[in-house]
Amino acid sequence: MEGSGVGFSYPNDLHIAWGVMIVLYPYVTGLVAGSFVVGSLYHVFGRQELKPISRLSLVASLGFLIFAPVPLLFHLGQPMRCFNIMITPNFSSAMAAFGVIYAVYFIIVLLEIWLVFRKDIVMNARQNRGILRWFYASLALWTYDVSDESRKLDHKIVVVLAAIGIPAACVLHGYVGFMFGSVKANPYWSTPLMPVIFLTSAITSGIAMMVVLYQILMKFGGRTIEPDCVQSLCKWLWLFAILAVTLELLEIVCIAYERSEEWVVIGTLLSGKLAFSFIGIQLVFGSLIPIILLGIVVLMRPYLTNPLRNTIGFVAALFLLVQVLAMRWNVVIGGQLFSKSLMGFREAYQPGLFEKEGLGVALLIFLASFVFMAIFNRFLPMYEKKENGNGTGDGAKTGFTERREAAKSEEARG
Amino acid sequence: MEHSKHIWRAALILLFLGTGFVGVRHFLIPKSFGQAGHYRYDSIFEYMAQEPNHGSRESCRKCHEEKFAETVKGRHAPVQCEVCHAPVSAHAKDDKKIADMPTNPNHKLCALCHQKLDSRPKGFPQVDLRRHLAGGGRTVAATIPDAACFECHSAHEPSPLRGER
Ligand code: HEC
Ligand code: HEC
Ligand code: HEC
Ligand code: HEC
Repeated sequence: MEGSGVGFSYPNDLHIAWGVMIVLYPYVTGLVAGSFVVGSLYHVFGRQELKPISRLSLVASLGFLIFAPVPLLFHLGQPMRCFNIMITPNFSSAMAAFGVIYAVYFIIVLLEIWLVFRKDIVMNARQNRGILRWFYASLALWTYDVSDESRKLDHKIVVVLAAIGIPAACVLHGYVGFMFGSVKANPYWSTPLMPVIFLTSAITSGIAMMVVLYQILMKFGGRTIEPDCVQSLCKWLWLFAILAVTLELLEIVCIAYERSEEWVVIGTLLSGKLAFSFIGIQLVFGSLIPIILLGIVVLMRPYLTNPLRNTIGFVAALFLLVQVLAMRWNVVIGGQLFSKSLMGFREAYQPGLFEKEGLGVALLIFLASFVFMAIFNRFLPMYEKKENGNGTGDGAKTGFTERREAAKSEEARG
Repeated sequence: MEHSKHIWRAALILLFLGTGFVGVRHFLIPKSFGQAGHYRYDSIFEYMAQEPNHGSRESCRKCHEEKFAETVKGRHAPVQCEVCHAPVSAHAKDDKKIADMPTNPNHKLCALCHQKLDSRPKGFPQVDLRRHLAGGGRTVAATIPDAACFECHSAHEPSPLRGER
């Protein structure tokens, strides 16, 4: 089985065509769906303790959303043709459905962000001059109505949008799982569990990303980390991590217990070629350790000091981010490592650093989302200064650019 | 409602974008799209109108009778000339040579089909280039020289030249 006996592979079944880009795509898409769902815990389900990340989660979702299809465009030899799936949608093709799902979800997120930040936009429009004023005014659609009534209306719509957004986020990411789950020639992918597995791990990665981003932003912004927020995020993270890992294992255990012919190659794959990234990273380093750590945070709450909890949560979240990435890798690459004849393995896959679909490009695409968030934050800060508690209705009240501060005092005077 | 002006404006923009998309789409969809399936039907006729580039080895025959005879009697008989060279349209037109034909005297050409690979059928002649070249105790340079294979094989009649190795 191991090794390379000649003749077990079908012709043209030698190369791994879906590389790092196709690993990155479900990862980033997962972060989109995940961060949106955490945000919705506040916006729809009113988990007040999650208020500090309510804005961050939306902006992060948008940032990841913008760059989610970029790996696909790099993977396609003809990126400009992507518009064809929008112009001439083929509804019998699952891949083409992405155009519609993506567009709908994009509009929802954009509208929601706009409504949540509208008061800030209007205030900025009032306080700036020249081109900046014009910029903010156009964002505000030239209506400066931020009366309580209008904000109430905004809030109502935000709730509705977030409520539509949850199923939309689930469809967006469930669809990615569906892409793999519906490849019937590949027994490792082809299971109805796949969309659910992708969804739970997406939410896991989204919450983990919030834990990490929130703490980093607070640390570098010189603000306090809300212990309740981290505690609550850890709780949700624990739940979804357990769900995700259970489902991931369940799928494997089913194939293993059935002992059907595909197990011969899948078992060899998981314990051989993927031993490091599956058993080592995905199961032990990425699942076992963080689930124990988060268990400590959740179950031993009274005994933990805030810094200790934050640190444990941070580390566990980082590990889980790696776990989800490893899971994407194991599914996407692992599923292509064995020959479709199920009799042996294809050539090993090692992505280059500087090639067109290499690790360097992948890293750049991933970082681009954070650059977007930083730029967004520059124009519409997600956190305001604590002292000015009268700020917006939705976000946490801390902010840090001096421009804003000046604006605030000017407002107070006027 | 009094305080919903911004919402109406946003809705208007969305409506505008939506109808804009439908309108633009109307112009972007090629005329014959969907006539016989999910593709541009006219493309079939465009392809039909194109001149073929490849002429099969029969097209080489009239000018390269010798090479033709050599190839078809050897083990490379299944391999078309244009696979290793280039399409005839770039080389000869109306019974005249119009441009040089590439010859590709490089071991990479041979490796394309003969490099040992798992996915090739068992019976197909394939060699591990390095090990094959090192056969009989010969030393192989770090980078295989371009003409490495032609020392013992001819491209057209590849059965190994006798007495070597
Ligand atoms: C397996 C690949 C291959 C095939 C098939 C092949 N050739 Fe070649 N051909 C070569 C290579 C390599 C060279 C240059 C090295 C050499 O001269 O042997 C070459 C050289 C030539 C030359 C120039 C010879 C010279 O002396 O300069 C002619 C003419 C030629 N080929 C014609 C043909 C024709 C006609 C056919 C089809 C019947 C054909 N070849 C099929 C690989 C091939
Ligand atoms: C119209 C006649 C004609 C046809 C058809 C033709 N060739 Fe040639 N080819 C020539 C002539 C003339 C030369 C130059 C011969 C010489 O210099 O000795 C030549 C030279 C070559 C050479 C040597 C490199 C060069 O360009 O000088 C190769 C290789 C070659 N032909 C391959 C082919 C192959 C392969 C085909 C079929 C796909 C083909 N030729 C079809 C006329 C033709
Ligand atoms: C387009 C694919 C292709 C290329 C390129 C090609 N070959 Fe071949 N080769 C074949 C095929 C097909 C056979 C015949 C296999 C069979 O008979 O089963 C063959 C057979 C052979 C054989 C077996 C001869 C024997 O008597 O056992 C040798 C040696 C060989 N080729 C050498 C070469 C060399 C050297 C080159 C580079 C100039 C080359 N081939 C390029 C396809 C190719
Ligand atoms: C030193 C002479 C020599 C050189 C150089 C050489 N070969 Fe060979 N090759 C032979 C001999 C002799 C045979 C037949 C005996 C054998 O199979 O070992 C052969 C056989 C082959 C076969 C058929 C193997 C089979 O299983 O039927 C292929 C394919 C082949 N060579 C390809 C190449 C390629 C490609 C190169 C260039 C990298 C090359 N050879 C260079 C001498 C050589």
